[in-house]
Parts: sequence; C-alpha cells; structure tokens
Amino acid sequence: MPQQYDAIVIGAGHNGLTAAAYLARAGRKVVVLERRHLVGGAAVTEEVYPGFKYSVCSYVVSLLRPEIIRELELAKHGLEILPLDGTFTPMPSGDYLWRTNDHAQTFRDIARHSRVDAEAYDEYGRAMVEMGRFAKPILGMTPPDPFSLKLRELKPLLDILNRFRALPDADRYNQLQLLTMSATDFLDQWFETDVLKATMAASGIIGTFLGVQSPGTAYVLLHHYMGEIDGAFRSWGIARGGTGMVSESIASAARAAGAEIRTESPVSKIMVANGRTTGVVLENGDYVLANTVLSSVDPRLTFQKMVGDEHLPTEFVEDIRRYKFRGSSGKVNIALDGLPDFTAKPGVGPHLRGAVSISPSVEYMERAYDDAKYGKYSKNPYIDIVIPSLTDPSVAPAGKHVMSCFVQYAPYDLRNDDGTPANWDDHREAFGDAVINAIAEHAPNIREHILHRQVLTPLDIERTFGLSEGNIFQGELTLEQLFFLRPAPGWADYRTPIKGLFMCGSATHPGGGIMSAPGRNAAFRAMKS
Amino acid sequence: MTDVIIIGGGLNGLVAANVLAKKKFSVLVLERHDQVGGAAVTQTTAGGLKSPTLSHALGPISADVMRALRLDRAGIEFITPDPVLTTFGTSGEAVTFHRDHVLTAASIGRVSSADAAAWQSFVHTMQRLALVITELNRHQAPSVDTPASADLWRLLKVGRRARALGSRELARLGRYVPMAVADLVAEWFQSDLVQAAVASRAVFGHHLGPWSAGSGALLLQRMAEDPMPVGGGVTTRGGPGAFTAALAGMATAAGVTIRTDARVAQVLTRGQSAVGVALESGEEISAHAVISAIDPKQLFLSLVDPGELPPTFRQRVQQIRARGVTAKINLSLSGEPVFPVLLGDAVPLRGRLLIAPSVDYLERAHDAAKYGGMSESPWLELSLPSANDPDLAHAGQHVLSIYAHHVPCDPAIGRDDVLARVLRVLAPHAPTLESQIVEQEVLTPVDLEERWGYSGGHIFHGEQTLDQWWASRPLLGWADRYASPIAGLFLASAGSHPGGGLTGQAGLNAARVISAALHRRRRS
Repeated sequence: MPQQYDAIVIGAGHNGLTAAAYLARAGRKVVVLERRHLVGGAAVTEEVYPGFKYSVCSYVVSLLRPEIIRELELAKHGLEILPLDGTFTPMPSGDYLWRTNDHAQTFRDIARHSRVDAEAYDEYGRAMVEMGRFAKPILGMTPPDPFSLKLRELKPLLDILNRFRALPDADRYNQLQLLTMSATDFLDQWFETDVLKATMAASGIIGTFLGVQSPGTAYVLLHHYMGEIDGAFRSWGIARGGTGMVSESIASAARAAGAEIRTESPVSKIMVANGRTTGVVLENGDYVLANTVLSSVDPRLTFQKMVGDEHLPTEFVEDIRRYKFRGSSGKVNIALDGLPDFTAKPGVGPHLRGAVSISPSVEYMERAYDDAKYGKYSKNPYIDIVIPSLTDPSVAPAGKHVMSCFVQYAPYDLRNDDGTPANWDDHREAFGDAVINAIAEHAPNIREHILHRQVLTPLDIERTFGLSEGNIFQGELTLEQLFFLRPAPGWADYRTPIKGLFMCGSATHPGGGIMSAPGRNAAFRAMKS
Repeated sequence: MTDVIIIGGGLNGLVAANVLAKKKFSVLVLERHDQVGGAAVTQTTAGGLKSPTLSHALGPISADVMRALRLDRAGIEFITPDPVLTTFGTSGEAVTFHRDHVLTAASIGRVSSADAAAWQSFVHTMQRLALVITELNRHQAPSVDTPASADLWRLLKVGRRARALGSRELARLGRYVPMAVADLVAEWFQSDLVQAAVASRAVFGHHLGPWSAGSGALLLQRMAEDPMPVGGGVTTRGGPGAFTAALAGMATAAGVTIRTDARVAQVLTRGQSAVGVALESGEEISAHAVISAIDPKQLFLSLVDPGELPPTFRQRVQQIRARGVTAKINLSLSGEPVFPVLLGDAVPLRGRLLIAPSVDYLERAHDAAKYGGMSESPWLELSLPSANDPDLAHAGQHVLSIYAHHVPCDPAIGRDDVLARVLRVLAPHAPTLESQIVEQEVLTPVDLEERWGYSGGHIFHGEQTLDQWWASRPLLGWADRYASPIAGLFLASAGSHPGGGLTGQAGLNAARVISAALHRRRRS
C-alpha cells in the first residue's frame, strides 16, 4: 500500500532539503527521495580515501542566505562556517598577489604592484557593495512573467526600474555595465595591474562556459560581494567537517521539523494524470503518492526523463531541449602528506589558508577558455585551490592535508583534434596531470606529497551527482537563462506545466551556488498554490 | 551669423543638414576631406576606376530618412543586388542567398535540406522581432533621469509593437537579445555555411566573436534596418559616394553651405556654451549652435577643451569601447575575377561574396584580435560593384572591394601583411585573382582612425553592444537629447542612438530633436 504524503521532494541536495525543511515546518507531511546513499547532492563530504574527508564537489560557502541560516537555525543543527581568508595568486615571474580581509595588508600588497590600484581597490569594493545592495532583493523574489504582458507581472519590473533610476549616477553606470560587460572590460575601468584583474575576473567565469573577456561575465563579480553585505559571515568560508555539513545541518533541521528523508531511493517517473501530478514511481517499482512534488534535479532529468514529453506542451519541450548546460569545469581532490611550497612565497604561511588562485594573467585565463571553445580541456587551466585541512584539521589525519582544486576549463563535449567527439574516460588522468603540472609550475614540490588523487571530469560530475553535462549550476548562468528566463520563459515562478509539480533546484531563479534561495522560494510558491 | 555649424559631411551630417535646412535654419557643413561622404564615398583611382573607398553598401537608408527627405523623388538610382550573397565552403560547396526565400532555400538545400526548410520561417521570425528594434530606432531614446510624457508615449508605441508579437515571440526576443549569435543560429541551422553567413552579419565591424554574449542583439539591430539576414548590399549607381553627393546637392539647393578641406581644430565655447568652431587654418567661424556629426570620442577628447567638460564625463567618454577590427581593401582588376566553384555563372558576382565557412572560423579570426594580432585566416566579405554598375570601370575591367576581419587597430600591423593574408585566403577560391590585380589600396583601422577620425578605427563610432546602445549611446544619460554638457553643442553621428550602419537614422533623429531645442532657445 503506497504511502500518501502532502509533498514529495526529489533530490536531497541543499535546495531540496531546504524546500523540505520549510514545507515540514509549515506542517506538511514531506518525504525527500535521494538517489545516492547520502544526502547533499553536490554539497557533500565523502571519505574517498581513508582518513581524508573530501568536499568532493562544492567546496566553499559564500552565498548561503542568512535568513535561511536564521530561520532553520542551522547553527543549532551543526553548521559552523569557518572564514576562508584571502586569495593568493602566484605569478610565473616569481612575484605574487595576496589579498586578504586585512585591509592594510591588502593595500600594501596591491600597492607593490600599483599604488593607483591599491587606492582604487577600496573604492571598487564600496561600489560593488552598493551594487550588491541593489541586486540582493532580486535574489529573494519570485520572478514575474513580463511576457504575459499583464500589468500585475510588469509591476515588479517597474519597481526594479524605479530603484535603478533612484540610484546615484555612478552606481547606475556600474549596474548597467555589470549586466552587459565582460569582467575584464569592467575591471579595466578600475585597475591597471594585469594579475589583479585576472584573479578578480576569475570569479566571473566560475561554472560558466565563458571567458573573462566574454560579455556578460561582469555581473558574476557581484556575487563575491553579496556575502559581505549580509555580515553574517565573511564572503567566503568553509563548513567545519566539509561542505557536506551544510546539507547535513539542513537535513537535520528538516527531520526535526518532521520531514522524512530516504536515501538510495532513486525516482524513475513522476506520475501525471490529466495534467496534474499524483506522485512518483521509484526505480524499485514502489509508488509514493502526493499531490505536490518539488523537483530539485535539473530540468532535463525532471522533464525529459521523469515526466516525459508526452505530458508537456510542445513549446515547453522545445524550451527545455534548448536549455543550455555545457559543463565547463572539473574537480581534482588530492590527499597530501605535506603542504605545497610556492616558489613565489616559500614556506608554510597564512597565504595557504585562503584560496590559492592559479590565474596569473588575463591572457592566461582567456587562452584557457580558447582551448575549451574548440573542445579541448585547458592546457594551462585556471585553478582555484583550497586546503580546508589548514582551517579545519578534522578533515585529514594529523600532519596530513586535503587539497581541493576547482578547474576550468573542462568542456563536457570533449573533441579530438579532427573535431570528432572524444570520450572523457580516456582523458581523465591526462586531465589530472595537466592540473598537477599547472600547480607544479608554481609549487614544484607538490608531486612528492600526493598520496591520492581523485579526478572528476564533467562526465563524472554528471554520473555521480546527476548534474546534466556536468554543469555545477544546473544550467548556464548566462543572461538568457536568468531571472524570468530560468529555466524557461513563462515558467520562472517555480511552477511547471504539470499542476502540483514545482522546480526547486539551481535551475530556477536565482540559480546555482550554495544559496538555498531556490529551495526556499519554491517551497513558499508551492504552499501558495 | 550662421544658425548651425555641422562638423563632418558624412551621411548623418548631410541628413541632419537637409532636415535643418527644411526647417529654415541657416546651416554650414564643414568637411575635412576634399569631398563629402565620410564612410560613403566613391573615389577615382589613378587608373581611372571608381571604387567605394570605405563602405561598398548603404545601410540601406532607413525608410524614415527616405520619407523625410523625399528621396524617392530625388532621382537617385538605387541598386538592389539579387542574389545578395554567395558564401563559399572549404570543400567546393557554395550557398547563394537571394531576395526570394524559395530560391535561397533551394540553394541551401544543396548543403542541408533541414536548413532549407528552416530558412523562410527563420527570416520571417527574425524580421518580426526586428520590427520592435526598428520602432526603438525611429525615436530618440528615453530620458533616464526625467522621463517626459513624450518618452512614455514613444515607449508605448514600442510596447504596442512588442505586444503584437505575442507572449511566445516576445519571450524569444527576450532570449535572443543577450544571447551569443552562435547559439542563436544553432537553434535554426545545422550547416556551418548557413550558420556562419548569418552570424558574420552580427559580428561585422565589432570586436566580438560569434560566441560573445550579446551578439544576438547586433544581428537584430542590423535586421531592424535591413530585412535580409545576411545583408542586402544596397548601393547607388556611381557607388555610395553618388548618394552622399546627391544629399549634398539637395542641401546646397536648400541653402546649406558646404565647405570641404575645412578641418575643425576646436569647438569654441564661452561660459559653458558653444559659440562656434576654429578651423586648422586658424579661421574662426561663429554660430548659434554646433552639431558634431563625427565620432563622439574624437569630438570630446580632441576638439573640446578638457576644462569645459565635467571630469567624470570626460572619463566616461574615454571608456567608450571602440576597438576597430575592420580592414578595407580595394583592388582594380584587369578582368572579371574567376571563382571556379561558380562554374562560370556570373550571376552570383552581382551580390556580395563571403569567405566565412563556419562559426568556429569566425571565432578564431576574433581570437587572434583578442591578443592584439591579426588572424592568419581572416573572414572576408567581397563586393564587385562593377558587376552591377559597369560605368565604375573601363570596359572589361572591374573594381573589387573587400572587408577583412579581424584586424586590430595597431600601426605594427602592416598593410602589405594584411593584403598578403587576404590574398592567401582567397587563392583557393579565385586562383587567378592575384594575377589580375592592376591597382591596390589597403586601409587598416589605423587609417580609418587617422584619415576618417574613427576612434580606434571603429566603423560604427564605438561598439554597439548592449552597454553602448539606445539609452546608453554614446553615454547613459546623454542619449535622449543628442546634447552634451556644453550648451549648444549637439551630437548627430553614428555614435548616437540608433548607431551606425549608413542608415541616416541617427542624423534624422538628432536633427529633429535639435531643431526643437534650437526653437526653444530662440524663443527664450
């Protein structure tokens, strides 16, 4: 006898769990169905190699909405965010750039490269915080549908427009440019130091299939400053016990509110009867019934695999087929028995406690992208390195370390020189080597210290985490796939053409990153219906 | 004293002159060259051939301008080539685009039947979407700070156009504008040739590749003035210069004074308002108002005393992105060029020819420019004006006009090198071409900057990407009134809304707004 619930949440990623928590707190009888043996989705901690706890996929926390931390009392449920201070960028010249939250230190270090830039840096920070203030309310809102041409739907946009017009002149320019410009064009207006621009621009391309010189990359720079405004914690941090603890704490909050969470329960079909959902079928054939289903997995899996085109309007089917994933990043997790020693700044020091960014120049970054455009992984990739064990010893045995390397670019559609499709399974280790080589350029001793290496290609990310084409944000964060266009025009308000079926993952507004805003927004939208 | 001085006798300057003369203003046009026309000039080579020095086609001229100046009755003979474009593939295939969609589909069918089937509905869809942009182009941009009821009224008109599309198509417009044109064409076509032919139209003249986000908007901008997705290549008998010459003739007849070889050195101001100009000769001419029909960057950075401009304004002008990438090559040929792929069929030569076999090819040409170099294999658009207009060349001879992309604005890039690479790209398609060259002229972005005054050699007076378009062209807050921080100094060039492309719309919009402003000033 199949069980009847008020609501089913497909996928126990941070968004799915967040949605479940809010539904349960509202007294709904909720079950979360997770395919894997553990909760967390892309926000998991796994002991891949004995004694070493990897934040396998997502590795830093920056955008988790403070209201969610508050409302779900995540601290009580075991969430502790440890600040990740600073970004260290080694350069081939033997020099380096090191920015931290210590204002004086950062000023001094940038001034070594350019006095003008050191001064502009503060100004820039202030401007970005202003921009962030403008953009932040948009994160929390349910996107309207301007294309319906209903005044009710246009109103929220007019409000945004009026807030835009109310901005001071300078902020208006920045806001407009942020939306349309490339990260480097935007930064060119503020700074002259190449390495500074390169390493700052890097945050504009993470998870996208765009280069630092591609228009539309500027506004992602903003995300870096969003966290800061909240004041809840520094803009970048890691969770004690690994990123999995973010999910664990949300799961714990959900359970405490009465939600049921089932792992190893892969959903095979979403049941649809005359236009509305009645529940789901698991891969083992079991039925789980509910009139409300929230899917936190991406649109391709939700609609093409679980619902089926036959239940959907043709136009919607086209939109979902057109929806771009284009995974562009890989991940290399390394177990170390010693710390990397950077030629640019020898020895163990606080510069290793933050992020180490392999982004020595704008041209380096752009060329890494050029490789990917033509189906190659970057010969010299951009790498964002974090050594969490320095901040949180609990994730590695005493004296040993885990090193997380986020890598771009690694195009999902890998091609051979003659343009024919190549298989990632044949290139995984070569890709891993390219990453190690790029690090060794700056820290030659790295090779001797590697105990174990886990290489995740976009294909692996797709297989393991169910992220189509390995896109870590469940779909490109390009303008034509944002806000009221995410995931499809007319369906950005978390509803779907199937009554009772809602989307609550990163493929909905405001998109990817460990923000949990989609899960929260969607839960409220679902309860409204 | 003259009412209005117009700096620059290019298309927009001449359109503005005509409009203002009709409105009974006394107008003086100052042109630095020995002939008017700006980018739309026809010059006679040493060998006596007439070649389109810069642009080998007109926008075409916008319908508004045609109407406002009654150009249909001006006895101007337009040439509307058909076929419009033939694009060559790498392995001996070619696709010819005609004005007739059925003929085009038939030609596309030779490379892809799916694309042939998609063509007509692609054209119609894009044309419908572009109508919304056309409506935007026809009016001055709204004021950001203090929208007047008139602004709202104009936006309402655009809104009506938009509503007429219906939700579905409107959503499409919303997606296409910020999109990369590479993605846009891939939604419709599979064949590299067809994809690239359409995509090349979007990146033309811009420091962008087809994979650059926002290039979708550029395709819509071009189609807002020219319904042919690959461009129509409309020109006039006697070349584009014949058209601007005709405009000059009309202006003179209407009482406008046009002075050539009169290069303006400075805009004269008194107490924050423009009172005239000083020529390089030292001569000073005073006027009630000065209209700049040249590149706004040139105007504000070279012709206006920095002390007269608010520092932030000047800084923003410096930040206007204008990275020219277009080189122009004019060849006099001893005979008709032979493209073996065409099997002796001379009809395609009446339209333009395109060497851009794939979207990746376009992107790679852009890649080189990103790092300051010129691509080994630039993408090319060719035109053989003498095929439609025999009078341009002596019997049997021909003039061949070539645009080459992407060539950065850098003196280190030699003209011979540009020509050599272009001929290397052409060799496989026209083996005998090099032996037919009688005369040659190579213009790089550096020449466009030095001789035509285009900052960075940018043919559109600055990128027309979203952040430099409509209400932000030339600068956010300075688009709506075609005005400047200096009272009595106005803007009427491609650097203002709706931008370049030889349509004359910017000159018309500006002249209308400015004449209203001048009337107000007179009264007060």
